[in-house]
Amino acid sequence: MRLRLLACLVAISLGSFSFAQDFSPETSLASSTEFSMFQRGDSLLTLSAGTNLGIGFLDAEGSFRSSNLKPAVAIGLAYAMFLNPKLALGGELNGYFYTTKAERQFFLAPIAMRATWAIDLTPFVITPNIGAGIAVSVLDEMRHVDPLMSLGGGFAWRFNNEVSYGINLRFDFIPQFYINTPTRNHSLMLFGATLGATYHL
Amino acid sequence: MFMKNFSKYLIVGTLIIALGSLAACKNGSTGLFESIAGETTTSLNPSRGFKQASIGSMARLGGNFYAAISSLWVRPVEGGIWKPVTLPTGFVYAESLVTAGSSMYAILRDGNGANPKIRSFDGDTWTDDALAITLSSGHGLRGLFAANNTIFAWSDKYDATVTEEANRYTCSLYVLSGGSFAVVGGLDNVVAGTPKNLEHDGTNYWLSTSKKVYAGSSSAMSAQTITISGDTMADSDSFGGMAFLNIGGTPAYTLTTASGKLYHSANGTSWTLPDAGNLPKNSNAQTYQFNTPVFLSYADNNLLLAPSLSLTTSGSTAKAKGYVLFRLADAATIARSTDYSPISDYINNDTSIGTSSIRFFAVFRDTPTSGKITLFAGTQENGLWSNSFDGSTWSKWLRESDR
Repeated sequence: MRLRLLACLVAISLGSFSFAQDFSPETSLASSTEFSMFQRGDSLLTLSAGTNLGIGFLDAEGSFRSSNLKPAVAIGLAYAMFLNPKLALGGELNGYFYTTKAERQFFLAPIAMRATWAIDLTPFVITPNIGAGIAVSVLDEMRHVDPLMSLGGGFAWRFNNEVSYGINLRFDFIPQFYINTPTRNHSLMLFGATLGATYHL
Repeated sequence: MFMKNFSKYLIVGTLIIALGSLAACKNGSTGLFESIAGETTTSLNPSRGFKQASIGSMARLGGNFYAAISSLWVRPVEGGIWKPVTLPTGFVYAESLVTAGSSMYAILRDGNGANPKIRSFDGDTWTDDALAITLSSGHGLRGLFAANNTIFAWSDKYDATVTEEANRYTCSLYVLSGGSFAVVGGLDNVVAGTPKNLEHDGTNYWLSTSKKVYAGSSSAMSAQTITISGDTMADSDSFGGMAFLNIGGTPAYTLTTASGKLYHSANGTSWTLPDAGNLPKNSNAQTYQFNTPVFLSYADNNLLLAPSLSLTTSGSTAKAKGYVLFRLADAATIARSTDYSPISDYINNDTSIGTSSIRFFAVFRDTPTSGKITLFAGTQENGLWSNSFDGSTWSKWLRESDR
């Protein structure tokens, strides 16, 4: 089921390839005024799909424990607006669908604000980024909302002025606190890799 | 323009999802991440068919465990894979496995689930002929019991024309004697609901039915007057089964009910409802629907496991699933253990049979007082689970595999 979902998302992303080809770079307004890859006010919308791996937990005593998570199907949606040709601010929503060691379904939804630094290597761009927000976790009947910190980077090829394709890597750190029972406190560390299509709005 | 509108809708949708998620926090008995970090393997790669099976019954014969899962399966006691057992010609389904001496007995049915016959099996071959049994008029053969090396069979009849719903089931009990079954005196077509289980306390046999308790010899039993101090059993309630306890030589009896009660008695006649004002409930504050309990005594531990069914009917709330573990400090002191120790823990319970409807528990020991203990749980549509004690620790619940 998860493989079907992943295949579907990848197909949607790649399907945009043919959609984007309808827009000729030669006729684009943006191309006629372009001095750098991005300008103040440019917006990017990125759809991505890939996988996410559990690195492990840090328990309440700081000891490392196995994540007990099988590789997840990961999907994501991110929006960014450039404040200047180098720096963009935006937000992101991701969904990770895991199966645990004991065959439970674990869903994690990171929702974060993200700052992205764009390194222009036309026609490529490298985008290191940092993020902070919340992560909504659902396991059986349990639900929890925790803080989230993320660190990531992307490498994309600008196919034309409308769309880019790239690979994204990210590291998530999600501490989970229980005020009344601190022995339950655990922090989850995740690593993700996705393929994405970025639309230049 | 299309993409700008599209992104606007996506962003608004994202915010709605995020806010909805924030409004729905719910904690369990452990931390959410802690629960995942504490998981143990609960499955040995079973096939889908075995994983989703409803388990009928289990038996141990010699060095093998047998399980009735529609057909008959076998695996060595030491471990290994489950393999199908060839049934005699004309039979497809097996149910109600029991053992006595060096033989296992089962009810076998044809491909239509009809024509039930009781056959015995020595581990290699089946007897050529079915054991003779003459059922009470209008009855159907339903199951087998074994206690004190004696085999019993039971049948029932449902009569929808009887006005009182509680009286619509009648049952009969038969005992195997000299190669054929004979009806047990006092249990020939009696209005008692359906039989649940049969125990032997060293002197008498005890038969628990859904409505009554019988006691006596293997050839004749009589209905017992059940007096419950401080509690009245509702007409709509029924017994889930009975367990005989022997703690340090002191006998005791327990009876479970479909309403989630656990009655206790020192003599089988005068009963009490321990902790009457505090019936066990699950995390959703639902009372359990207890089935037949099993008693497990080893070293300094005296445990009673009460499995719960979950039957949803119109007009009633679904009952809690899983099981409740009781600890007995002595024959008269019984209390719920909420952490599931020593046989399991919160996380293993939650990730194994803690949410399943459990049809039965079966306990097998290498010797009566020492050696390895294997505890099986047969679930409704969640396969067969086992938990073994090697003399020092329990393996925790692990789903049985067939490959």
